[in-house]
Amino acid sequence: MKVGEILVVGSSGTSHPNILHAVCDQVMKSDQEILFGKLGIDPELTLFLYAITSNRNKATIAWDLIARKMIGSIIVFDWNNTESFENAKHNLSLFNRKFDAPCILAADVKNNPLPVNPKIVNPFISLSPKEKFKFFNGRNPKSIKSLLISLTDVISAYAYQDEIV
Amino acid sequence: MTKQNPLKPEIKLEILKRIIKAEPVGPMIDALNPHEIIQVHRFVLERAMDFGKAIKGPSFTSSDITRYIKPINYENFETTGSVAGDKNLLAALETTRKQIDIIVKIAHQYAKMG
Repeated sequence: MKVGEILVVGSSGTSHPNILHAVCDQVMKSDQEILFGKLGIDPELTLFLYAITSNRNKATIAWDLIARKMIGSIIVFDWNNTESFENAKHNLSLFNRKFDAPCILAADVKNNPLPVNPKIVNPFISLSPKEKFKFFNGRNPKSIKSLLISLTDVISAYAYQDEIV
Repeated sequence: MTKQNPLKPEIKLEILKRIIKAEPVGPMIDALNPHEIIQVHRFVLERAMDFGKAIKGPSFTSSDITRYIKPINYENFETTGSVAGDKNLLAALETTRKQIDIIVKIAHQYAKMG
């Protein structure tokens, strides 16, 4: 059986734990305040998701141990919270320097209307071949699931790009 | 010319936020080096094109945006990578900054349209 690891990273108060609760069959909490979720895709493939809180002023996470095998990540932030946005930029910078896995920048608008015409973010806004920006509602399971679908699409496209280069 | 690093993703994210929220990009551009400023110009132009296509569909053409901006000649800069003492290149960068502001406004209008 194949397994894939996905990191779901947010900062204090963001909705990153909701993502695991919305998509995983089982969710457990480790003694390091990390949420761990398991999602069976089919008999041959299982995804393991880790929800991690990372604030830029408290750099205590051993990313090289946690993230070295990840196939992709979702960096969550609150669209209307400046501190949350700054944390997301910090985490994005860190991941970009250390790892090559694709990433979805997930801006949570909660139950507020989208601040843009939905046509421009369908399915996402591209920052690079491996970094995409997407709005979502962290209180809506269907919206949360669309994040994971987008991430798997980007992972597939990015892997295929590597093969044909 | 040596190969330049791509624009950092956190800068792209900051610019994208400013496009959507209609916040000025000038203050952040002042902190960037000339290569990054040129990359920002390319990035905002690509996003404005993407947004234009998404909103207007087949009726959109690149001239919907490029008619507001003139091509900029970076030829010497591409060769030397330096702007020191070159008035023409300094002027080109100033034009680039102004065009970024224009393109960001166009991209914001497309993002809000509909």
